[in-house]
Amino acid sequence: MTPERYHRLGEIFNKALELPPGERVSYLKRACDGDADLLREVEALLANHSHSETFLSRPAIDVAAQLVPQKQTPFASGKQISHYRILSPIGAGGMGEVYLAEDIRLKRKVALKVLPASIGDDEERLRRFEQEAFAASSLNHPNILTIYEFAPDGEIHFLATEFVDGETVRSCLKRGPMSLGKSLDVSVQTTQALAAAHEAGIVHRDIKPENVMVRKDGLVKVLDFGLAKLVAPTPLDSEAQTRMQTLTQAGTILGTAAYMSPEQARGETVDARTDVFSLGVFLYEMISHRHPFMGQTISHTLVAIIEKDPPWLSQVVKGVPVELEQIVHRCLEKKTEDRYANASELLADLKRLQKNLEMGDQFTRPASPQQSSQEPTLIPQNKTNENIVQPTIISPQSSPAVTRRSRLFWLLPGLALVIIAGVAVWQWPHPAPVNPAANVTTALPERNLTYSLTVQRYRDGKPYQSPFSSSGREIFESGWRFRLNLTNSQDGFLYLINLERNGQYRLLFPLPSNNGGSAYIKAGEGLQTGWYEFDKQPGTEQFRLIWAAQSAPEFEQFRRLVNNTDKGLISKPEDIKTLTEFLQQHPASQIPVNEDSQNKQINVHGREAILVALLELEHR
Amino acid sequence: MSLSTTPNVTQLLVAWNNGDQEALSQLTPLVYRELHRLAHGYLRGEQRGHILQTTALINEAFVRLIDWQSIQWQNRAHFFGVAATLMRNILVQFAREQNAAKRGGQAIQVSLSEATAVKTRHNPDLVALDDALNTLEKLDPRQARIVELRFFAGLSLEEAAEVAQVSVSTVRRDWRMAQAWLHQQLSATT
Repeated sequence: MTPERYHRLGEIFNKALELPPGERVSYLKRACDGDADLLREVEALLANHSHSETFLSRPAIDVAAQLVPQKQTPFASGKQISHYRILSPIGAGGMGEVYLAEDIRLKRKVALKVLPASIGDDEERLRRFEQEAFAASSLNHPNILTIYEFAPDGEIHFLATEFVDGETVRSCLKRGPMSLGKSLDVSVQTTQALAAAHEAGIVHRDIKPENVMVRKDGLVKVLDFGLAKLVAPTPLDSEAQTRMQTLTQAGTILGTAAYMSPEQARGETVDARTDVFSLGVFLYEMISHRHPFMGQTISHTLVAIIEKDPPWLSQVVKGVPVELEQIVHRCLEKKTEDRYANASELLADLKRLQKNLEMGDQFTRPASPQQSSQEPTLIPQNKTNENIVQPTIISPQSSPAVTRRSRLFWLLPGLALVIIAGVAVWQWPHPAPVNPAANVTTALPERNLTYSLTVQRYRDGKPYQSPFSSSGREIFESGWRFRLNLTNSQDGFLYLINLERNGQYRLLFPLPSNNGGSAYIKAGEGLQTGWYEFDKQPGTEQFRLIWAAQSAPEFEQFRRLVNNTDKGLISKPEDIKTLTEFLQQHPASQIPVNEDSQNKQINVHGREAILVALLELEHR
Repeated sequence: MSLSTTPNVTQLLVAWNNGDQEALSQLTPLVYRELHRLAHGYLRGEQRGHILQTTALINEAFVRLIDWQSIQWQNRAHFFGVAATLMRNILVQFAREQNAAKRGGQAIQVSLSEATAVKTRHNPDLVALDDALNTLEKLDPRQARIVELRFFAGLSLEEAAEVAQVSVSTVRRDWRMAQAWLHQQLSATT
């Protein structure tokens, strides 16, 4: 095989795949032009193609991991390790398997964490693990998981801790939003635990919903104390070695990147204020049921942590007391010196707030059985534009007026909101522009949009043959026309733009001629757009489908350009800038795109309020 | 912080790219650790096929260790390019070691054509794949590159397109062709 022949083979192969199956045979005969060997090779390749769509679809590291010899097998119940008898597996943490076990001597239940062999082999890591276990066991606090023992039993290393009969905050959150009262209670208890640790000079460094458990009686237990220290950089290590160690826990990174502080994300030295930041993320998520920085990929998330301010809590949840919002956002300050210095400072504010709210609660409870009216409710994104303004930055403890306002707020939520909003609007005649749905959220229900193309060939300016369905993978000819068929299972607003060659954009939907000129599509109704024609200049056209839960002002404003003069062309530099920024904030979905090759349909789905699909259509 | 004086992953990658074999020996344990972690996850029955894992590993190196406000896309592309080759190098070497370790102790495997085909699809032999990729490099270097980026670095079509600086549709066609051709090569040899 020569490169030239391989290239020829590839051309025919790809072209054949783009044809409807019925047309392939005649095409192959024509293309191979009597070269029987070539024909056989292409046919063999096509046969392999039909078997190879999943081939190499798992990344190599995944494939290689299958080859790793397995030293350790899960322990069956009844197996004894030292003086503990395994009862049942509980779960698995970043550091190993966790079992419910019974201490045979003391006749009590324990959680037994068995370290993976890969750690057991590494003496240095083991030594540090042990050291950290000791550090954590020196913390004697009701909100910190008690460590009983860390020991080897032959080749197995294990850690015996208090058994907590309850669930992690993560699993609470999976069931749905937590009430404000409960969120605050968990926050206070978690912060208490960290305050004790900070006083003892220990930084947790891995605060996240997975590491906080709530017992059935409501007592909170913070887990993995000090274990996180093992994987986090410490100033004592040589820089390089530390980096190696931080890298070894890529699994932890997957889980915890989202709770890192900016300084952690940059790989810098951390102190108590890192825990304060992570607590802020934790609080934000508990209260709003959405993560303040979550992006589509780890990189996006980390960029957001380092660079972006999260949306104000009041923008995403209704009914959050102003003080609570201020507390949370103070934890989330990018600069360490702008945050609370440690958990004790934060705790003081949280407790004060909790007390104030409880007082308000006592007044309202007999009068109003509608507990839910006091609970935060999610605000649909975008709607916040008109009536949400940034709250004043006044330290709650320094201003009795604010406290008073909060109590009023709590007693009369509706009225107070109107008053506060009124006052605030008066104070800020130009509220800072709110960026709708700038952050991907975990709270929104999954949205999806399915689309396919109907393509009409043209020859000599006339329709030629019947239209065919396409998922957009084919190569089209200039002058051909296509339209989009969409199906949607939720209400939404559709915008379609095309990137023009000179960096300008063109609004292709909504148009007056279609859907009554509206971007709104009702759930289940679907839509077929009008025809779009490929221009004469060959190349790859970039269309973006924007499927938004709410009307998107960024696009609505360009409807003024849909007229005979502008023809939807968005050409002003400031308009282009607006759109470019929008598209940067809402990159096209990459992972959650399903292609149904049989029906030529592509399904885009995700939990974002704004889903963006990129269609790249190549035409000659 | 002595960022400039201590070797970090980025510098190690650059050094390795420039032919420094010592750098490879420092990088290998990182990948091996990740392999063990993944394998351990399988043991616990965690869902397989997290396409994010590889990118996570590489992204992590990238994100943590580069002063990345100053990094331009060119460097990022370059970084992923080098990282992909590195992953290939280390993972294939690892597979070779495992194959060598297994030899001898195991019973002779009876070859069943369908079983082999399924195995090839789901658990391709990395060593055989590496050989086939070497052949492909001579036939179509860009296709071989795209396989490295997609399979060894775990990049998506779009990411691979950015790194290879070609259109997504080109990557899609190259990938489709390379998949079919490599599948053919591996099915023929096993």
